Amino acid sequence: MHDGSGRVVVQNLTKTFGQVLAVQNLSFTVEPGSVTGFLGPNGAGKTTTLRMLLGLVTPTAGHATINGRPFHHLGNPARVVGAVLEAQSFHPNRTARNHLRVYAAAIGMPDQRVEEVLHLVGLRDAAHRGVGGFSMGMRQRLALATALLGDPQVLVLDEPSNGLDPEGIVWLRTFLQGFARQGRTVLVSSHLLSEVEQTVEQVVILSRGQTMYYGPLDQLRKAQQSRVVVRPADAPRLTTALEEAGHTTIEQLPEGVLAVAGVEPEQVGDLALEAGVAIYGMHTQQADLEQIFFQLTSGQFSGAQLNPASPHFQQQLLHQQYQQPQYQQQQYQQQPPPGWPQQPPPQQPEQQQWQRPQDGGQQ
Amino acid sequence: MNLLIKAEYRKVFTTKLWWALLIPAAVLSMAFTWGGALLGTLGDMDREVGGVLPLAIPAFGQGINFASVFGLILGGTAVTGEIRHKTITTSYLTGSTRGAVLAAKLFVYSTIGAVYGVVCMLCATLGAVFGDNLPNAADWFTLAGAGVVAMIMWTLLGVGVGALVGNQVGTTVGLIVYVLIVEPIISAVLRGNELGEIPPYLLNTSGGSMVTDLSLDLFFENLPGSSRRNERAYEELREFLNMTHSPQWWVSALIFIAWSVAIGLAGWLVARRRDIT
Ligand SMILES: Nc1ncnc2c1ncn2[C@@H]1O[C@H](COP(=O)(O)OP(=O)(O)OP(=O)(O)O)[C@@H](O)[C@H]1O
Ligand SMILES: [Mg+2]
Repeated sequence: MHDGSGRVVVQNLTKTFGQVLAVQNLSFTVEPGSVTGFLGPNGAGKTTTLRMLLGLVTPTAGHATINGRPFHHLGNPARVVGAVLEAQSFHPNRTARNHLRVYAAAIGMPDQRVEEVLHLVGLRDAAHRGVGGFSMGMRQRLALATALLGDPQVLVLDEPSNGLDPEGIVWLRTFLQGFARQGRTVLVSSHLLSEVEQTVEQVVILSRGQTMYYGPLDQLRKAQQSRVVVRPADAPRLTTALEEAGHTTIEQLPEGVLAVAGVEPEQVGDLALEAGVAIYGMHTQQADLEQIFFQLTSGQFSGAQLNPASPHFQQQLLHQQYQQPQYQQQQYQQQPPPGWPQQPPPQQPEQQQWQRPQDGGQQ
Repeated sequence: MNLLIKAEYRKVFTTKLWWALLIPAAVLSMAFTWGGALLGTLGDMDREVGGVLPLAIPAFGQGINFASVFGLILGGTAVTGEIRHKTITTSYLTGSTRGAVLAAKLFVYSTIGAVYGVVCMLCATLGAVFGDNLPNAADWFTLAGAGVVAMIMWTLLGVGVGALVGNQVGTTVGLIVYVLIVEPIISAVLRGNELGEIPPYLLNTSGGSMVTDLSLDLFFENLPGSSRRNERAYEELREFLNMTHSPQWWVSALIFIAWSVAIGLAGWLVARRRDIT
């Protein structure tokens, strides 16, 4: 039937909704054994891609396979793939237990499995309640329980930590890592790199329906470089001295401040002393992953598929990565993704709103 | 497939809708026959026609037509309810194919239509018994059998329309507007243009006539008194009810079954391909 490899392959996937080009010629592979992050800002096409992978949306072009087969050729797909999707919901008057019993029946799992997954996600005490009264986090847990019913080899999750309390988020992280360590596959989407940074090893970064980066997160990390910001008494003289010593990547900042990439502060200090230039201040600046993610997805590179190994990529990162956060944010707001109303708020408020002190299901 | 059927039954029986709709259907069925039975035994009528008037029979027919609306509504929620609550995603993710999920739905709702039919027929029979006017048993059960078939087909039709339309409010409003406004207008226009043979082939007309015609046939067969006088009254009544062109009740039944099966199939084909976003 299927090859049992646990490999997810997306090939040249394209989807248009009327005028909207949601996903554009997307390709990537997800291997078992590690957690893969599927990242992109709102409207980037994450949900659409995952739904195409799961046979819920018909691609305009291209195809996606799990274990070498399209979703609906897997036989009993829920025994191979479990999915937690964004717009997944429940009948408000059906209890959590009954909800799970319906789908346990559909995939041929015994009712005992329902109790197991309820226990696993910590919903046992709320199992007899109608899902209509569930909090966001409890729904998220129930969705995960549903995905786990068939003891699947591959897990696909679309923003699963939405609405989870901090404890739930930590639990989910640990769970996903353990799941992957058993040699299974996890593909998890998020619009925040920081949210999945500690969990994922591989990332697929998406912007406006196109792949911006696809590969190990470590490689992305290595691409970042620190730089030294220095305020000398005589900027031109220090620049000359630095250039003579072979440090040519120098940016002139306002008020005679220089930013030098690829050097240690000690080297700058020694060179300044040799050149007889006084130094009034100096610090090292580190670009973090989140900034790289911002640059990759802020739309300016759209159309360019970047290979992290290429010098072109390194160079672009070098130029972009020190931009100040305010600037990034403004830029993001000026170019909202298609379909997004003006002024996308930063992600934090909605998260806070959903944070609950405890699993609301425990009575 | 068996797994999906079992899951579908669990879906139906873990929410309240199925009995919330069954109760009014059963009550209506009983009320109609009880009322008809009582009307038929009123003293004056007895003297006029020389026996008990089997009014319970046409009342039964009308009761079936009203009760089947509830089967139709239940069927209409089969797919649209899942779309509305977004459980359709999970249903498709846990089925071998989308076609199999929808086929299980069509099957399960047809059997629930049968349950509705049987319950309503039993209540209707009780109504006639309470009204002390249960006519010829063989005829009565022929009509009850037709009623069960009608209920199954109306429910199946509801599933098909719901799958085609995909929206719960749209399905319900669409069906009501069609039955109460669109089809009567089409029929009137056709009859006004000397095309009276066509309306019996329309959806609601065929579904209604299969039961109404049978009930009228049986009513006149069970009338006491001279058969010649009854025959004239029968023709007049059919003319009054715009049923001059109506074929035999079982022909109407076949037409209606064809409609329901065709729309069920169409819904299956359309819903299979619809994007779930
Ligand atoms: N049913 C639909 N009809 C029209 N456009 C759609 C539909 N579904 C998605 N889109 C469009 O496709 C694009 C990608 O949407 P998608 O939901 O895949 O993004 P996403 O990456 O999941 O975003 P988010 O982080 O907000 O969940 C958006 O521009 C969206 O407006
Ligand atoms: Mg999404």
